[in-house]
Amino acid sequence: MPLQPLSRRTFLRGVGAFVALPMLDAMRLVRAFGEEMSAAPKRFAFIYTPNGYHQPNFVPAASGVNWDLTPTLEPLLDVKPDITVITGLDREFTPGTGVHAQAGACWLTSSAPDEVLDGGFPTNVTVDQLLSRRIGGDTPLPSLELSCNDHADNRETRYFESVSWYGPGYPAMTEKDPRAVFHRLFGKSRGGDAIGSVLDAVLDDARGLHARLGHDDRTKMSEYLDSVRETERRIQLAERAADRAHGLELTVPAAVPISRSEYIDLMTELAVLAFQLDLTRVVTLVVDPERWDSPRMYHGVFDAPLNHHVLTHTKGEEAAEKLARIDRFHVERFARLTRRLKEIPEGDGTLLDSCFVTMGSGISDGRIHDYGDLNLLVAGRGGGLISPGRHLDYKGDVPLANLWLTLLRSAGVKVDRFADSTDTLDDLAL
Amino acid sequence: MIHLFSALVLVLSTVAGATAEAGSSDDAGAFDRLVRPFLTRHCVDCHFDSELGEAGLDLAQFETAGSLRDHLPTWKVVYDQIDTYAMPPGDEEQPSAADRRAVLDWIERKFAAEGAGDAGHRVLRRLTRLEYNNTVRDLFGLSIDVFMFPERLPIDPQRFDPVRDRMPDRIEIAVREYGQKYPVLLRQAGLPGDGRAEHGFQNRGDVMNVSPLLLDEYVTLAGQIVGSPQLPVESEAFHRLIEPPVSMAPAVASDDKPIVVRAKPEFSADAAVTAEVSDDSLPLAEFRGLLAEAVGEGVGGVFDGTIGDKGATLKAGFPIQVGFGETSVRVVSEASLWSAGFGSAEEASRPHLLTNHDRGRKRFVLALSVPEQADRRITCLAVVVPARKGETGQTTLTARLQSGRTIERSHRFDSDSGNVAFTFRAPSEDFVTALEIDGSNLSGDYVLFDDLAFVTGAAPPLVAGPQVVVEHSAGDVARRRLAAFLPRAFRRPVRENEVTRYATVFDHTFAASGSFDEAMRVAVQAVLSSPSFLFLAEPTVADAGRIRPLNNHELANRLSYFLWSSMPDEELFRLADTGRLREPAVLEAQTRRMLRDPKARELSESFAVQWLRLDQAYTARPDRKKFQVFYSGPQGKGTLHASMLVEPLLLFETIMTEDRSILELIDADYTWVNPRLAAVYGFGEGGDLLAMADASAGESTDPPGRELPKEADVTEKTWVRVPVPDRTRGGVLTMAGPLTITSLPGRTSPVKRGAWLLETILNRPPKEPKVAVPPLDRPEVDDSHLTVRRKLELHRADTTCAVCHDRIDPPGFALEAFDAIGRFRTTEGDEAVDATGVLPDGRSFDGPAELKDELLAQRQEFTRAFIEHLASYGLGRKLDWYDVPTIEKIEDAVAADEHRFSRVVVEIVLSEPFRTVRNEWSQNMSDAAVPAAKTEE
Repeated sequence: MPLQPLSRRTFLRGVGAFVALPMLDAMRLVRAFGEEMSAAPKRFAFIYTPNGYHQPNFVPAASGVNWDLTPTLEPLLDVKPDITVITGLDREFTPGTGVHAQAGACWLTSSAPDEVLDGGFPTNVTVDQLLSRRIGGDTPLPSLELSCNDHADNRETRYFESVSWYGPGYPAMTEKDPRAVFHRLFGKSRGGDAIGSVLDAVLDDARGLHARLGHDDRTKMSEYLDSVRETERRIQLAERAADRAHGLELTVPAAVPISRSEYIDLMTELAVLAFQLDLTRVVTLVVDPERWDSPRMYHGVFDAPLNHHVLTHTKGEEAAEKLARIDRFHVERFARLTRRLKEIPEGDGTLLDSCFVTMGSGISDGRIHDYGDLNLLVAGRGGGLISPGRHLDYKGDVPLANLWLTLLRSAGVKVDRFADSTDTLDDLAL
Repeated sequence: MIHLFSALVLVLSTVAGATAEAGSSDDAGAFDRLVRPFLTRHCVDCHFDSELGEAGLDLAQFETAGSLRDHLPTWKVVYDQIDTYAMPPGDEEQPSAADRRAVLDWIERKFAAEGAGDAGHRVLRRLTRLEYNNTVRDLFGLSIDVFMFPERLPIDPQRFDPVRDRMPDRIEIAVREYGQKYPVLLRQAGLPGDGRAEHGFQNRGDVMNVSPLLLDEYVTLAGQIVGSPQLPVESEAFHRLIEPPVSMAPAVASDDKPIVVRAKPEFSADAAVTAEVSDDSLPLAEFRGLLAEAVGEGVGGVFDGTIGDKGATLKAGFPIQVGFGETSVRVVSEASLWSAGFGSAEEASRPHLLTNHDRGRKRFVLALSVPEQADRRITCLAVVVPARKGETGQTTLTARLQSGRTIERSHRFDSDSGNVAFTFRAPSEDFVTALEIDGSNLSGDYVLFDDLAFVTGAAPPLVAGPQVVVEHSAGDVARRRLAAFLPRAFRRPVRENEVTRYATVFDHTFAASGSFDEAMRVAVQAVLSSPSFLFLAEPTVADAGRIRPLNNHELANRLSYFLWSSMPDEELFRLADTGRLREPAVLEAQTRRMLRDPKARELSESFAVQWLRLDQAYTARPDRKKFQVFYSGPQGKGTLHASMLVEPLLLFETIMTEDRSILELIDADYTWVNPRLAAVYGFGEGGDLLAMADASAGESTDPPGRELPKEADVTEKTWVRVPVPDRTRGGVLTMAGPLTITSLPGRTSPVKRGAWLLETILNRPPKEPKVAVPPLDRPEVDDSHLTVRRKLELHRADTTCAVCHDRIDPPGFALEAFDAIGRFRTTEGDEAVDATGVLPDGRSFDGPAELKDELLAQRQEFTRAFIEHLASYGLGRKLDWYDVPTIEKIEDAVAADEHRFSRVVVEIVLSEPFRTVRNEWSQNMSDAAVPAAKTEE
């Protein structure tokens, strides 16, 4: 299937021109802001797709260096040397809550499966947020949480659509509107010029209230207080960011594109821009929420809306073939993102070199909600963290948390354990 | 042998226990006699250890009644499992009905004893998106929404009129296409949505968070609201808040080409003026002399309010040029004006007079100038304010002078007032630049004026620029206005330091910009972004005990956000201010008043929609080939989605409006249909509503002569209340909406339907499926010929699945009598539909009517579920073990009052948990950090 070029209408005008001008070297920009950098900063992106993958079409037969692209992975053909396929990592399901809810909500959680902190869910500070606290401090946005879940109904709870959590029961709020993402990256605060005195007043109000509240209420009010402080900090950094985009002719994207591929590509493009201009170093993107049985149109792939989750429980070749096409559609988006990162020069190489961009799901076989043998695609080298071009098969019984622990250590986060980790993965880099 | 013996003892002791227990407080004894043996016999074989036992449950540890105390949440689980027949599992020995009941009763008594008076775990919550919209709307007195949001149903709200106590037999209901635009204050603005709680509602504090992103949204949205040019036009309250004090207002300037009117020579005749309000320096008679002189010289004249023959609307800022001959005066109004005749007023000069165009905009400024001649100015001014029949109150006119000084004149109209003439004369060396008309204290919506008469004179020596003479500093005015605004915005009395906080925002901005209204807008932006506005806080109070009663304002807030999803209105504020709201009689009266207010439609549009999951109505996508009737019109854009949403809402609203029994929600002998839905149901001949309505009229006790819809009038918008032909229909269970929501695009799903019923109708939702569920469709077996039901039965053969599916599937099977869009059917494919089922407690049924019979036979289960849902919504929290006695109490009261809807609401409002709050006051809250905590009462 040929790749669909992006519709220009939905795109940021100027992005193309911008890409063609290698003078805007992110490294140089970083130095211009007085940071002593010996190497490009590491960047991390976590992309979530729901309901697992159709295993027979996804998992390569051979592991190591000599592996062949499977039908689902074919779109990765021209970037195969930059890709690592990881299979055979495990998570453990905590009984008591839904299998789908936990698949998404706890994909990145630092909480061990037996640690139930959030009404039956082991949600806790997720790996992206731990990374952001360590390496996101000097970027205007410590982290960026994106989602392409444009379902307007409230069919499912937040556990189905949140992969990034500030703490137990406290999901990061995701941005679903590309235009709002753009404003966040490049706009001044939309709160107006007098935002400073507005924030002073509301902070004062919040402190007064906080002092008079009971224990649990205080926790909620602390979220508000922290949000005000974070907003103040961000405003200080925003001017620097505005300078970084100086000279670029950027146009605000239109609303949510109707086409599914354009929507996802636009969101990943904004992530690329954020990485390139060092506006953030940590991104999560929920391509679609878990389960959520509202039919979804995959434009250009199927003629009629269909239901990803129900397909995973439908028998027969036809359903299997449809599942594989959805998987492949998502892999195409991932391949496009990889190529984009690779097009952008940085230092002596490309932006992709400093990136660890992974796409995966919280279950492997959606049909039986299998929490074992999880599949991940990784693009990039993560600044030396991983040597791509291989299929790493851990064959089960190695916790997924070991991978997350390895990431954290590589970024300088000092932790002994992460969730149910047993060790780091020492064969990521050769 | 031993087994047999213990069983015998158990039976004997149970009988003894049950009778002894009624009047005894000896719960320890009853535990030993009754509960412990029950556990031993039925539970602990599996639930014997917190690690090794099933579900991590250790029921062996409970050896005495006292040992339960620290494990009551666990006992709520035990209670629910026994109560819903989920445990013991079906293949184990079952306790007798009497034993089951006796144990449940004992646990209830235990809950009541341990949890007496507990207000419950309610976590600080912020406003939902709906509540935010409504609060801003009501705070500023808007008649439109602030922004568009999906919770606002695309269904005409006019349909809901609870002021009447009987629904009409026919309602025309307009429905917007989903996602279509409608009038709001801010088209581009909005807020992120709120997630719903697991088995709960969107207003639960424990599942709401604030993040930097959301804060950013709040601050931005508040900025958009206060910056909206439309807001001061739509909102008199906001206009008055931000408008500069009189002497600071800039003159209105305009570049538009003016309307030219020819001045009249005569001011209103003496006979038409019954009073004059004038300065000693210029009695009306003297003004007439001056005017006549000026008219003669072509430097003065009268604008009689007439523009064209048929009247006219003058847009705000649009200039009118009144020509006298030699010179002319330009009049620019800050507000839109009407030039029209008024039947209820006597024009000073016919045919027309002037008034505000926007209803209620009774205060505005007319900028007055002599544009063409630099050497002339307005020196004297007169105007008539006509009296309007039946209208009373004070009108104030203020002439603004070039120097910044003002001349203010007022007249109080009473029922026998006539027209009043006002005159103004500028002191020498000064002149008139504007006239402010303020009729905001008038009883009606319009302030009238007529016959604007001008006398111009030679320009005085140049006055050096406008001198602002302000009696009070801008800061003082702002502070005074904020002090009046904040208690409404925060919905409680405010402290002095709070007023200072927002007055400071004004001061900073005013110092920077010099613009009063700009600074006021920023102050209001801060108010709308602050936690006191965004959250519904119920702070701790020193020395008030572990549980404290809510103060009057907190109670007003709970009440109004429960019934209206918005802030309290004036009456509630007044009762809270005077400390009377807490009186039970007042509280009940207010509750009943509020249910009769149109704002109570949020109970239907927010509560009922979330409860019945109707927010999913629009996401249903029935297969286009199999269910063609679902789609109509070009490209099938005319779907049944809206109709499927309207029907259950109308039932709910009928029960609310007519204060009927809530049992009609599960079984009613009537329903509401439009022609398309009637066709789906096969009502009447080809959906002939008229026949149905006729039948209904025949049975109705309404007075005869009722107007029936004429055939030609009946459209898709026409909803008619019809009797159901048989008990297959009637009640939400058998409506197309819920039946479609719980189906897949191509087929029904008994599991989804059953789970929906357990969750909504019985409020005992099944657990989420465990990991690794064997798939319903097994690729290795060719079962394509089987009905969905047969496939499910195979699935249930697996005992791990059966535990839950024994509860879920039977109601789903009964509803197999309906296809995936709710059409009645007797066959699925080639097989006959089997709509029989057996409930976990052994009762069996065949088809939807008998399912409803069984639900009605155990009506206390639905009653309890409905009360629980509504109480959880009203309290904004999850219910827990300590709520069991409260719910029981309400259940009794509701049953004793024919299950009336209003009784449910009133009893929830009067219940302890609704009127109290946990008041955890611990040492670590330092005294220094706490301002005078007893703020009220």
